[in-house]
Amino acid sequence: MDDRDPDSLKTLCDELARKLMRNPSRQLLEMTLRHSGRLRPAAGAPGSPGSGEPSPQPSSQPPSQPSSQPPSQPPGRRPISIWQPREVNGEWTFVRPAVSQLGDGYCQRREIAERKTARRICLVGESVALGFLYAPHLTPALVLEQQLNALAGAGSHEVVDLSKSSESLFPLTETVESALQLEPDAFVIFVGNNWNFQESDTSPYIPVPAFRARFARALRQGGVAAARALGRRLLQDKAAHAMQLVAKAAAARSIPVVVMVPEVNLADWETRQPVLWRSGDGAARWHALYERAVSCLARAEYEAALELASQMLALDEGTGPSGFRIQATAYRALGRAEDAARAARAEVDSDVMATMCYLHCPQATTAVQESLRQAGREHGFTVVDLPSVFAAHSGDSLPGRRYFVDYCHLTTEGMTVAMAPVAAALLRGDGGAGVAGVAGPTWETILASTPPPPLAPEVDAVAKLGAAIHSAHRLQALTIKGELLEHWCAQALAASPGIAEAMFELVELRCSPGPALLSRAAQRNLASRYPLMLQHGLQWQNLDAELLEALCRALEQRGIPARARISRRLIESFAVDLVPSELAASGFFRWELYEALFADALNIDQSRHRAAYRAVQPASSFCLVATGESDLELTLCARLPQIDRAIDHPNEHSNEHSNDHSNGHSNDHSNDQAAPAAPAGVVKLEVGGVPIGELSCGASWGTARWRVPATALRPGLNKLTVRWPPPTAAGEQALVAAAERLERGLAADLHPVFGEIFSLVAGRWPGAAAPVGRPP
Amino acid sequence: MNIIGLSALYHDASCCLLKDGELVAAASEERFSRLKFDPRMPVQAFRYCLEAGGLLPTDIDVVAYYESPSKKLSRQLWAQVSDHKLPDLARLDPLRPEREIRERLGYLGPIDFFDHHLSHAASAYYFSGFPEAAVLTVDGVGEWATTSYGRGSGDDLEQLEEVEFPHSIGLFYSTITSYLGFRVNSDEYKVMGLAPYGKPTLVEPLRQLLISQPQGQFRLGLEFFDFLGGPRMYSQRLCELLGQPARARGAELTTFHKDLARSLQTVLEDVLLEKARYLADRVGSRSLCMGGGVALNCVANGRIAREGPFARVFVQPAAGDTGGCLGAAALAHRKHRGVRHTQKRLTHVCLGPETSTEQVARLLADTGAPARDLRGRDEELFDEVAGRLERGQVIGWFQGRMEFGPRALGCRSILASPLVPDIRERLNLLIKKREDFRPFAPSVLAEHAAEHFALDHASPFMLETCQVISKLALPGITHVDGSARPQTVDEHAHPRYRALIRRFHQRTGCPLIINTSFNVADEPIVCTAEEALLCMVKASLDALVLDSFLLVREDLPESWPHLVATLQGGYHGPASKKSAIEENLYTFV
Ligand SMILES: [Fe+2]
Repeated sequence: MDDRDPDSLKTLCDELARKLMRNPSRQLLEMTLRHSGRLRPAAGAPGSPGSGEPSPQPSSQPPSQPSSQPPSQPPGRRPISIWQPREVNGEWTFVRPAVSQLGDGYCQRREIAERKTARRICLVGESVALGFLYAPHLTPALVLEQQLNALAGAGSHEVVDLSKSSESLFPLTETVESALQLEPDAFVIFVGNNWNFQESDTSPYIPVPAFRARFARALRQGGVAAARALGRRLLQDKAAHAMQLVAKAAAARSIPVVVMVPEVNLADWETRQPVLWRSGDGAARWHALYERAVSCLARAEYEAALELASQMLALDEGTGPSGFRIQATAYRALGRAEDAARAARAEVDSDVMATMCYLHCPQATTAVQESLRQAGREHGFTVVDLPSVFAAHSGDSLPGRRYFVDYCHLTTEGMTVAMAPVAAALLRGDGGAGVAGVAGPTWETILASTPPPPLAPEVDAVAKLGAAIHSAHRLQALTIKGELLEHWCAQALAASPGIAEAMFELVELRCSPGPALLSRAAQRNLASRYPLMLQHGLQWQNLDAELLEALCRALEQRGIPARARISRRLIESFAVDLVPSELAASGFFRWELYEALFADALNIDQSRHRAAYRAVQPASSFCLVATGESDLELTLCARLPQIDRAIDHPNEHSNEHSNDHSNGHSNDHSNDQAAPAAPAGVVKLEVGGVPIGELSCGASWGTARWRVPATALRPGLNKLTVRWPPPTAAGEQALVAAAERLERGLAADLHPVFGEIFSLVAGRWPGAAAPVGRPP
Repeated sequence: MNIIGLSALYHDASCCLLKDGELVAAASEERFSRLKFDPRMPVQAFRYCLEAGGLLPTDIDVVAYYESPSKKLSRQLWAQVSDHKLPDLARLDPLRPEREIRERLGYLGPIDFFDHHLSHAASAYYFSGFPEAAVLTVDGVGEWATTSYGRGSGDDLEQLEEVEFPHSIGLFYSTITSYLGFRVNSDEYKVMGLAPYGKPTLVEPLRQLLISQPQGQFRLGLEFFDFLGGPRMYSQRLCELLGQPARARGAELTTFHKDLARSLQTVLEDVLLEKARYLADRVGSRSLCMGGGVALNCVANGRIAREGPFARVFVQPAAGDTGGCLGAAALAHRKHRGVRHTQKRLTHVCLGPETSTEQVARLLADTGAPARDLRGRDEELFDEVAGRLERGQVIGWFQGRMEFGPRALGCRSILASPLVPDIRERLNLLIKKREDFRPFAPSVLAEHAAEHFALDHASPFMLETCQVISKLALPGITHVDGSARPQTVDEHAHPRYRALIRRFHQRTGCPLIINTSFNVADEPIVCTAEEALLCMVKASLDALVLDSFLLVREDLPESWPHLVATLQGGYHGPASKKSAIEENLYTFV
C-alpha cells in the first residue's frame, strides 16, 4: 500500500468532498480528478466502477449448500440440492438433513440410494412440483409414480423428487447437473411460476443499484413499456440460457427431458397492485374509476364495469392488473368465457413480468409459458402443455379452484390431471422410459385407469385449511376474498369435520403473545390428527382478521357455534379498552397482510425499513378489537408524504453541505427551497364503516384524537379504516423523481404513497366506564 | 429539549434520547432487527427511544449525527483515488445519512452533524462526571482521524491533535486479527484473549508496522498493509516479514499464532501507554476519558489504569461506534444549551427496552411452560437460583431494561458459578460454541472486589483486566496469565442482580459469579423475554429466570428444541441470518 503524497491529495479531496456535498455529480468528480491528473485520460473501461454499466448477473450462482458438511464426502461425488453424498459399505447414497415435523421446502425423502432396477425419473421443479400444502402426503412425484406403476407394473418406476420451494433459474440447472449422479432415465422439469421480476435483472424493487439504474434508463428512453420489454427480454434470455444448460446436461448422457408448461389460477385469483404514477392527476382518477368499477360489479352492472375497466386500462396502459381483473369478472358473469380468459391472462401478464409491481404472487405469464414451449422445440424436450390439458379436461378456458388451491399450487385433482400427460409421455417413449416406437396410453386413459391417489381425509382437510390461510395472507382482492376464504374453510370442514378443533386452535395461535410455535395451542395441534405445518402458515404472528371471519362463517354454517367463542378469545387478548394498543407500528394488526408478511422476502427495503407505516393504497385498514362496552380513544399521528427525492440539491442553509467545517453544523429540511408544493388534504377515519373523524394533514406530522362511541363498535373484531386524500396531481414530476433516484441506484416508489402513520393508538376513553372483565 | 443521537450506516447502528439533559433511552438496532452488527438506519431503536420518552417525531428538537459526511467523503475519495480510477460516487453516497434520517425516520427538523472522533470524545468526557480531563479516542477509521487527543474542561471539549488515516491503531490491530484468521470488526477481542498464551517474540517485526512518532503521532508501515485497494487487510510483505502465511479461519492455533497475538497486544499497549503519557503531559490532567473501538481493549485499559500517569480513568461502556450517538447527543446539548448535559458520571447502562412482569406472565401462561411464579418472593427466587448455580447449573438471567453497549451487566446475562471446575468448558461448548481460549468474566460484589482482584477502583462496565489475587480457585474466570475482567457490582447495578450475588456469596463464601452475555454465537444479545425463552432452548440452559419467574429445562415440553430449531430455519430450510458486516476486510463505506 502506498502513501500517495497525503497532503496535496488530501487538500484536493477535502475541497472535492465539500463540492460534492452540494452537488453529488459524477461529472464533477470526474472532471476535477482528471484536471488534477489523478485520473487516466480515457474514461474507465466498461464494467469499471462508475462506468454506469451494470455488473454481470449476480444470480447465476450455484445454490448455497447447507453449512454443515458431512463427516466424509466421498471423492467424485457432489451434493444434489440439499442431499449430501455418503458412502456406506461401498455404496453411494445421498442424504438430506433431518426432516422437521413442521416440514420445509424440500421433499422429505431422507436418502436417495444408487439406482436399482426400476426406471428412475427425476422431477425437478418449484413449490408447485413439490405439492405445496399437500406435501409430503400427496405430491406430483407420488402421483406420477403411481400412474406409471399402475400402467407399467408395480415397482417398475421410481420418481425422485428434487423440487424445491422458491426454486429459481440457476440453482435449478445446478440441481439437474448434479442429479446426473442418480443415473436417471428421464428428467421432468416443472417450473416457471417463479420466473418473475426477481429473475429479470432489471427492477426498481431489487436492491442492486445496477438493476435499478438499468430499469431507469429504459424508463427514460421508452417509458414504462420499454422498461417492461427490457425486463421481459432479459428474463427470456436468462431462461433460455438456463434451459440450454439443462439440455446440455441431459444430452451428455442422452437423457430425455419432459418440460411442463405451468398453468395458473385464472378464475379464482386476483392480483391487486398500486397503480403507477400517471401523468397529471391520472393516478387519482384511476383510483376513482377502480372504486366505481368494483361497486358496479357488486351491483351486477357488468357492462358499466367493462366501460370503467377500459378507462382504467387507457389510463394505466395495461401496466397494472386491476383493469383486466374487472374485465375478467364482468365477462365471466356475462358468459363470455373466452374474453374472460383473455382478460385474466392479461392480468397475470401485466403483473410479474413487467418488473413494475412488487406485491405479486408467483404465476407463470404467457411469455414464460412461451419460453418453455420454445425450449422444448429447440432442445427436443417433450412439452406437456398444462393450459391445453386443463382446458381439455374441464372444457373450460378459465381454470380455477377445482385445480388450484391458490394462485398456482395444485389441488389433488390438479396434480392428477397435470401428471397424467407426463406419465403418458414417459410411457410412450418420447420421454425415454417406455419402449420406443410403441404407442402408449393417452393421458385420458391413464386418468381413467389409475385409482385416485390415496389420501387421508384429515390430510385433505388440513391442506384446504392451509389454502384458506395462505390465501388470507397472499390474496389482495377487492372482489372475491371473503367468499374464497370461506370456501376453503367449508371445504376443509366437509373433508373432515374434526378439523373444527384445529380451526379453534388456529384462533389460539393468532392470540398467542409469544412465538406461536411454542404456545400450548401449537403443542395440542401438533399432537392432533390435524397438525398444521409451516407451509400451512402455522408460524405467522399476525391477527389474520379476514381468516378469522371466514372461519367463523364456515363453522357457523355447519352449525358449530363459533362467533361468540372467537370474539371472547380475541377480547381477552387484544381488547384495546382493557390494554391500549399501537395498531400501525408492526404488521400485527394490519388488515391487509400481504405487504406486512411478504415484503421482507422480496427485499423491499424501501417500504419496509422505515419508522412509519406507509400506505400504498387509498385506504389502510387495521384490526380494532374491543369489548364494545366502553367508548374508545383513538390517537393518530400521520402525514402526507412528500415525494422522496434523492436530496440532490440540499438547501443553502445547510452548514454540513457548505464550507463551514465547524462542528455541530446543522441542516434544516423545513427550509428546503427546492421542495415541490407541500401536500395537503383531509384524512378520514372510520370504524366498521361509521365515520369517526377527520384530520387536516400536510407534509409534517399531525396528531388528532377522537372518541369512538361504544355504539359504533361490535364486541370483538372491528375494522378501523384510514382513508387518504388523493395523491398529488404532479404525476410526471413524481415519476421523474423516481427515475432520478433509480438511476443513482437508490430505491424509489413508482406509485403514489398516500400517507404515512407514525402511530395509531387505541385505548379506553378517559373516564369512560371500565368494561366488565379484567381490570384496565 | 429533546435530542436524538444517532450513529449509523457503518456498523452497530444505534440511537439514544437525551431529554432535558437526561439520558432516557439508548439501544442498538441489532437487538430489534436480530441482525448482528446491523448497520442500517436504526428505525426500530429510534421508535423505541421516542416511545420511552413518550414523544412523537414532532417533539424532537434536534437530531445529532455522529459523523461529518463531507469529511468522511473526503477520506473515502482519498482512499479510492488509486490506480487512477474513478471513485464510485453512488456507492459512497455522502447524502445518505441526511436522506435516510428524512425518509426512514420520517424526521423533518434540524440535524446537527458532529465529527466522528469528537463524538467519541464527547461520549467519554460528557458522561465521565469529571470536571476536567484529558480525552483520548482511538479507533479503526471514521472520517480522517483515527486517534484524537483532547481536553475537557467544564462544559467545553476541545480537540488538540489528531492522527489521520491511513495511520490507524485500530486498523493495525484488525489487520493482524485478519492475518490470524479471525473476523475483522468483531473478533478483535478473541485475539486479545489469545495473547496471554503466547510470548512477545514478534514485537520487533511488528514495530515495523506501527511506528511511533513525535508528540501524539504514529504511522503505519504501509507496505505491510493492503486495506486500501486489496481484498484483504494485509499485504504479501507482511507474510514475508513474519515468515508465515496467514492462518485460515478455523485452522489450528499454533505457538506462532499465540506469540503473534501476544506481540500485537504488547505493541498496542506500549504505544497507547506512550501516547497516554504524552497526553497527560500536554493537558496536565490526572483524569483520563477514553472512547473509540480500541478503548474496548480491556487489557490495554487495565495497563493504562495501572501504569499510566492518570489517577482516574473513565472508559465509556459503549466505546465503539455504538456509543457515538451518546457523544453526538451530548454535543448537541452543549451547543444548544450552552452547558454540558450533566455533571454526573454514567453509572449504569440499563437504557433499553424491558418486558413487564405482566407481559412475562402472559407469555408463560400461553406457552404452558411450567414456570414457578415467585412474584413477591424475591428471597426464595435468589436462594433457588444461587443454589442451582452452586450445583453447577448454567442459568439465563433476564431482568429489567436491556443494557446499552456490547456487555451484558446483569440484565441480559447467562450466569454460572466460577467455583465449578469444568464450567468454562461447558459454557464454551454448549452455549457460546466459541474458541476455548478465553475465560469468562466475573461479576463481583464491589465491597469484596479487592479481596479477589488487584483492583483499587470500581469497574462497573467490565472494561479493564486486572490480576486475580483470590484465595479461591477460580478457573472459570482466570486467564492463563492470572488476569480477569471483573464487573464490580455496586448499588447502581440492578438491585436484583446484586441481591442474587449476595445470596450466592452467603451460600458459598464466594462473592462473585460468572456473567456472560445472553445470546448464542452469532446472534445479538436477547432483547425481549420471548427471545430469552428461545435462547434458553437453543443454548440448553439449565434454567431461566424471567423477571420473577423461574423455568427449568427438564420441565419444558420435549418438542421445543426441535420446534425452535425449525423456527430458526424457516420453511425455506436452514438459512440462518448472517452477520450484517464484511468479515474479511474493514469496510470503508
Ligand atoms: Fe469509531
